[in-house]
Amino acid sequence: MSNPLDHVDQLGTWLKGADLALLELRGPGANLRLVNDGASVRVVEGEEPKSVDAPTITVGASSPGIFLDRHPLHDRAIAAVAADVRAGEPLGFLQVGPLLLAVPAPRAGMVTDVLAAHGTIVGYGAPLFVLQPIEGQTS
Amino acid sequence: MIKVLTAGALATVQDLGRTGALNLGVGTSGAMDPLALAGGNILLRNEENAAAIEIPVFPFKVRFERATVFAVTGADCAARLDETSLLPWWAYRAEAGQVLSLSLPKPGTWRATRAYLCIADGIDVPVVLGSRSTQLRGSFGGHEGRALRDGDELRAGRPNGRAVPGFGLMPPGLSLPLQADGVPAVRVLPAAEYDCFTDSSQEALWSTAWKITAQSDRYGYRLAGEVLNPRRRLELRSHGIVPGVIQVPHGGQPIIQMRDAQPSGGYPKIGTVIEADLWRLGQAPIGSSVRFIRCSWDEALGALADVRHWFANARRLVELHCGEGGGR
Repeated sequence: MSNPLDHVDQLGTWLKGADLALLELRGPGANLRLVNDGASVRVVEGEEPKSVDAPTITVGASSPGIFLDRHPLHDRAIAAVAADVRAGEPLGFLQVGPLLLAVPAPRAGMVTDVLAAHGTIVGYGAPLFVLQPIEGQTS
Repeated sequence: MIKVLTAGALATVQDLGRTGALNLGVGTSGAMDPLALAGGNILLRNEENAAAIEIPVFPFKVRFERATVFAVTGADCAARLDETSLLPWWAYRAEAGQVLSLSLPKPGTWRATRAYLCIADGIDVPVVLGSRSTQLRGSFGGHEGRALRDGDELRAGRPNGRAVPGFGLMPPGLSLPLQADGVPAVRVLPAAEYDCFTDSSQEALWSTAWKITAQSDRYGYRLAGEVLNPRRRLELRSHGIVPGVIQVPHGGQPIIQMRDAQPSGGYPKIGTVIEADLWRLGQAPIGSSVRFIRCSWDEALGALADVRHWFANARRLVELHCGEGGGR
């Protein structure tokens, strides 16, 4: 079977061509993350780029869609900055036509930043939230 | 199986209605907000006409005696599963023994009054004259032909294992807004006796707001507004009527026939609320106002096609989402 690592250049070209922010492939032994920042496509090693002082998690869009920070029937954001969330709880939503998908918190923690504006169209992998995990708690 | 712990009042089992029995003198019944019912069934991948519980009075509380996937659609009534807050219009899994509580709907981005508890595979009650809807006047259909009471137990249909928790639907009410001068509106076809009303009454029908009075329920909505006068006194024999018909009795204050209306009446009919807009009335709070927008036969059919298109699209996307193992 062909190894995706042999085709990084081709995948990068496609990523740029389709204007997608992120391509993520996960296998049993390896993860491949290709990040397209508009100027270039690069391979990012490991899980997420993390700062040493504040180990935060960036939560990205699991699907392209319209980012909503609140349920359409509610008038307040479900997880504003400084909100404490439990693992699996929705931080926001992605609207795909009549469908509403959750953006779940990967771990328990505190929302330290909301990176997308309510009602904007986001692509797959677009960063939406920054989460400061609570020590010792995992999903 | 679910057990009703707090029934509130007038909660009933409803599907999309008992059509085709008007000739037997049997009204249509069915959900006052058929969009909320159909939306719930799409969300749970149920058959289109599966029955659910319509809840107009709160609090309402049930216990799930078996694990099931469910959704609460219609009005956002701050649902809780045990102590956990739930999202409206969202598919959740309840474990056996968990209690679902619904509270009074809060005026949010969409003013609605009726909630629908939809469960995977639908509520299994006997089909009478082609429908599971409760026929309150005739005391048949639904659960023992009556509103639910504390302690009632309801079974789900034959499990098909298709429901997937963990996602939601946009409430269609938000994508199909309709107002006239900032007042919620419904489209109306002029009815048989429209021309028998004075010019000023015809004008008032279209240009003034109508208040939904406290004498409004599943049978009909009594409205308050300008007095509608016929050109001369009208005496009619009783004739067939359907939900949506706007009758004008002698006092000149209109009555809109709703889902539990009797199938005949003798008052003059000034208009008919189109089928595609009846759900808007079904969710309109008592005390609120409604405007009538005149529409043509073709526009009425077009409005129904828009609603069907919304459902077909929603069903397609739900199937795509669930088919791709999207539910977690």
